[in-house]
Amino acid sequence: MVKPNAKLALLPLAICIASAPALAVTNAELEQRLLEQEKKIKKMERRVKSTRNAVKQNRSRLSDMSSRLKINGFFSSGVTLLDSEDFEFGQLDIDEDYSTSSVTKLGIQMSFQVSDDVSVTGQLVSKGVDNYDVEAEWAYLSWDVTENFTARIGRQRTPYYMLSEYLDVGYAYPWTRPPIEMYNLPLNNTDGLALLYDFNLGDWNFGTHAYIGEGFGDVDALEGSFRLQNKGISFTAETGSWTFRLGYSASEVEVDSIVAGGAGDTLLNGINGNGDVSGLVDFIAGINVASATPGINAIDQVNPLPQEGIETNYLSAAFTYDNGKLLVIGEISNLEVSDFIQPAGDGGYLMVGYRFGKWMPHITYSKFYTDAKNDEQVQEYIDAALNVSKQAPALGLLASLNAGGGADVFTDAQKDATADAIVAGMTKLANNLEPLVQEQDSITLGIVYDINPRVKAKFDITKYNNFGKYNSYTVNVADPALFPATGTVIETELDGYGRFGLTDDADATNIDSSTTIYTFAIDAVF
Amino acid sequence: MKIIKRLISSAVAACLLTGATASVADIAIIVNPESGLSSADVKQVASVFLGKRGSISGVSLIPIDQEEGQASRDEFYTKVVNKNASQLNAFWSRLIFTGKGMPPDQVSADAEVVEVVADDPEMIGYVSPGAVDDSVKVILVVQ
Repeated sequence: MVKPNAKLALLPLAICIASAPALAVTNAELEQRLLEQEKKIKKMERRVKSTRNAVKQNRSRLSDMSSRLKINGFFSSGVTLLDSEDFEFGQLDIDEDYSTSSVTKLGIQMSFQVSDDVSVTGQLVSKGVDNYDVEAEWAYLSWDVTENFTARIGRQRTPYYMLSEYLDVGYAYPWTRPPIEMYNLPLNNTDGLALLYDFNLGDWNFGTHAYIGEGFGDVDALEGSFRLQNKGISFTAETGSWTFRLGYSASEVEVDSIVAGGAGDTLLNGINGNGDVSGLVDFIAGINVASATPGINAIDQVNPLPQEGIETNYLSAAFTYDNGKLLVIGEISNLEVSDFIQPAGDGGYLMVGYRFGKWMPHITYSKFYTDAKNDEQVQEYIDAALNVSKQAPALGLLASLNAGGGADVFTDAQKDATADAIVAGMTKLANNLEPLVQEQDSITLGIVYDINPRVKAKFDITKYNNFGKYNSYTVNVADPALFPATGTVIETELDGYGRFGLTDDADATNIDSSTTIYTFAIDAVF
Repeated sequence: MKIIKRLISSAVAACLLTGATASVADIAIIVNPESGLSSADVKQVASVFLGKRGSISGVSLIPIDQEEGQASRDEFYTKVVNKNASQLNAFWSRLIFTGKGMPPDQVSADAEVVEVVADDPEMIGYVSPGAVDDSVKVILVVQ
């Protein structure tokens, strides 16, 4: 018996036998057939090839579109608060209550390659501290003039310091926010022209960035908006793990508009006066005109605050060392504001971090102080205001003589009220100027965790210390109406609060000597 | 030149055959056979992929990258560029959002890198040595 499977096994043999007559075909015929087969194969190959080419073309067309338009974005959110009832950091809305909006930011950047060497880029940023208003932080056209030389026109972030251009991109730096001792400039954009040139020399890569243009912006601390003419240049040099940067920027600032009764307005009117109200400058002028009179002492005149042509200069030097594990960042800066009263001086920080896989703990020391030039300038206005206060009785008499065309027409009560108002105004001015002499330092302990290659979690604890002291003044005038009585200045030394502000509930005579900000943030780029 | 190329390719192939475990971690830097470049060091290659320079030894180069999650990519950035994926993204975010650079275009596999590099005389790419064929030239193998 033959099993069914065995039958199958015999099949090939059967086929062989059956095809045996084919052997009778001549060689010529065989070759002919082979040729035909080869032709067929070639035809098939051509078809496959053209299909493959079509697919390839299609794909490159697609990738061409997608490589012409690039969309990138960044996002940060988290929570922050500080641990003192006395302090607040108004610029970032940080106080003793939990706040998420002060950490939350969303940025979308679109860049379209117009041609081989021209692209247009727009970056829209929405920040919690600005009520999520969408602002175009960047909007520019970029032209690659040569391989090394690029020109950009439009709105760009002003490159004052090393991190200035990517302050909003939390993912790009290790802290939840860069040290506030240095990174707290309110006016960050320049609309204008930038030229970037980079080149290699051996193992070194060099970059130069020069810019010129106009800036606009609000300064919350002064409750006003300002217009700037900006220019500057920065140099970077990189080799291996090291990066060095030097930057210089200069701005000419003018006051665009100012909120009536706001901080800036009060400061300007307190010093310059206006049509309706006399200021420090007017009082000094009045006293000096009458200084021949015994009992009236001349006071050195101060310059009125300019509302345009205010020159500011920013200088900075920075380095980064990053060998993949160890990260060290250091930066120092000097800000100088000529002829205007703004806390200006020296700031800097040094940060050291070490990566352990996905974790990077880090520590930062940061410091800021207003420099001697700033402090002397502020002190000059304070002294002048106090001198005017002390001579308030003389100003009461002068006002009376003014009103009477040389005759003393005011009652004692009128002179008294005039003198009191002057004392109140000038003492307030002196007291408002005192906090413009600032100092503080801070230590930050932080940790960064890579959740995935595009998302990081960060937690920072920063303790702010060494705010120094400042004076609070009261001027006592025994009997303001009784010329030539002069007042006495009473100074009370108080604890400073640096870059921070005092809350409404704070008792300035008894505030905390330090405060700690805790911040947790999630940063992403995409 | 062709002989050298073949020697390198066969050396790579030999590596593949002899040390399967070691070779998994190798990464080959490839250019177009027509490229004037025949060798480069790790620092130079890293500079090109970080956009810090556009040429090596005077030869213009355009890097082609691989998408995140590709094994070759992790190998390349860890060994050649000395950055993990997070550090690399932080690096690029500092350039992208300041208009100072864009990361290289990406493809999704070694085979596509070979195809792209074989097509364009200026392209430089990285692949696992096993993906190398005659259509490209290896200028550096990093272990």
